[in-house]
Amino acid sequence: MSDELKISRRDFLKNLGMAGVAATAAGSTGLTLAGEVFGSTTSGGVYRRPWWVREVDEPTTGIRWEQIKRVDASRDTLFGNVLGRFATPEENQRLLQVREDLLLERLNSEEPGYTLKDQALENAMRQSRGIIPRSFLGAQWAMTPEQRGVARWEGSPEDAAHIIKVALRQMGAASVGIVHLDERTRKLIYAVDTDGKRIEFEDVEQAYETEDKRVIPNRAEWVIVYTVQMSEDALRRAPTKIAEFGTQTSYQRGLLVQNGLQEFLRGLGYQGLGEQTLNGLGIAPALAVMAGLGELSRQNRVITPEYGPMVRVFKLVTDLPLAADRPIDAGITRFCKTCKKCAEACPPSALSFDTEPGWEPVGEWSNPGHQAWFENSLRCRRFWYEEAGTNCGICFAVCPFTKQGKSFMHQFVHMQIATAPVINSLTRSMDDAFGYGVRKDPTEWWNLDLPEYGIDTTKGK
Amino acid sequence: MPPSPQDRPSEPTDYVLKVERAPLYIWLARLTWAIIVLVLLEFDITSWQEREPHAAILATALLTVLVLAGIIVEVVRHVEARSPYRQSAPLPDDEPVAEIVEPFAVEPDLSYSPHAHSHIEDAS
Repeated sequence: MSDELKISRRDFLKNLGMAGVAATAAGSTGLTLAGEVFGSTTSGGVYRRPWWVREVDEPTTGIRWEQIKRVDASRDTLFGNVLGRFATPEENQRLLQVREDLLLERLNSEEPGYTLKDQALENAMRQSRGIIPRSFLGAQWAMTPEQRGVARWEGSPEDAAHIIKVALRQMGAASVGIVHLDERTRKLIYAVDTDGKRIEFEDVEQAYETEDKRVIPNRAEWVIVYTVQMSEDALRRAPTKIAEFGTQTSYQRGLLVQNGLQEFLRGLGYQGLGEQTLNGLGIAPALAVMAGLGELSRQNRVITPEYGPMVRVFKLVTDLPLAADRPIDAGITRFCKTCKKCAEACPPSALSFDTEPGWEPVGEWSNPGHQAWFENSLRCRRFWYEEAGTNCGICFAVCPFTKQGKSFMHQFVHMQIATAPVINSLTRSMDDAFGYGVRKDPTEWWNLDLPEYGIDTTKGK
Repeated sequence: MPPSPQDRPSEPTDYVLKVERAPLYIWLARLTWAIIVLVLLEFDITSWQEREPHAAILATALLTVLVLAGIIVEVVRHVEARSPYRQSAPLPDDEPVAEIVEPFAVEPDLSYSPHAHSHIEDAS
């Protein structure tokens, strides 16, 4: 052996050890930096997703399609009617009164987040949404190809999906996915909409609406599912009127996007059948999961890889043939099994502490046939009326996936969650140690230098 | 006849510059340190931008500790490199692997070793 190649045992081991450490540091940093270079463009939108967001054939939470029935949303959900049929009319009325008294009391005592300016801001957004048109069939003002004297737009399903996703992003959607409606996924469309009208599929050319039903043509086989970002700065002040304002603005923008999309589809020569009522038409989390926008979480809501739970989900049925997306696995559901931060932070203990998602719903407000961490919606709703005086959103605010996304470290953690779940509990502990999820001062919000709508539109790109 | 040590001049006229390469593991440690410092620096700056003061303060503290630790280690190495103790003989453990693997040619120095089978002679 030549003198140059001679190395002591101690130095050899030191080199070997440091090579391992350096390779881990440089490799994981490099893989995170190059995440989107090697990413996929085919799921969730037109932007690249990092390589650790994998497309899968089945969602990460199980579904027994044969057990799923189309839901009567007017009866079996808690949309907009206090506790609905799960409480007496007197109890519902009492809860409304309790909330009203609570808000007045907090207004008079100038409690941060409930002052006049806070309440006025939230109410302005809520009421102004009511003056924006919302319909199943769309406004139908846009010029059709027929009116222009040309044939309707034709293209491959991939091209169609591309232009829809580009258009939606420019209209204000954060991410977009497509679900193909077949015998199974049709079950995710409500049997009865939240306002009591039946939703039926018929063998007709054009969709129509009568006094008691909305009809989707059988040829309308695609659901465009899109998310709209919520302001993380607003929701981190939950539960206050500032946080509720964040929710209201995203609902308003979602509605504007729906109107724009319906007219865009009409202009192409196709139909766009939207939500006639807030959260109507179909089961938003389920459709978002099938569209590959995110995974079902412990909150029993969707968490997206790009925006965490800080999104509202909207959907629209169309007869424009589109290339469907696939569900994803970004390690989100797996992380929820060890994290439980939302369940710990939930004041009325409405969220499940079970490690594994179950198959049995807690109450009739959830439908069986799928695996989930079913929440106690009645506890949640009671808290809204009796304690918060607003909607809540604490579970969204404390979630480790709720980050503004400016830091490389967040991408690094997302990669770890997707690829090395063995240290998920450490990740959760670090999230606590670094102070994420701590409720922020509602008064301070008025002095923040925030972007338009309070959201970062460069996120997820 | 070769010159004897006494023939050398009292003041040296030549200097020997000894350039030692840092071992590979030192360069790898520096690379790792630099990557972690850069990631922490970016995390620190962006945490302030994200209005996460808790994370930002913690990142600043970690960054400060890491940078100071790196500086101290390099200073200590620099001082150690100039130490006269470095001229002392290497420890047995630092012998080249090749020499350790080869069998030692053991030749007992009998002049200093006791007899293996000594006997006590009769005093008489």
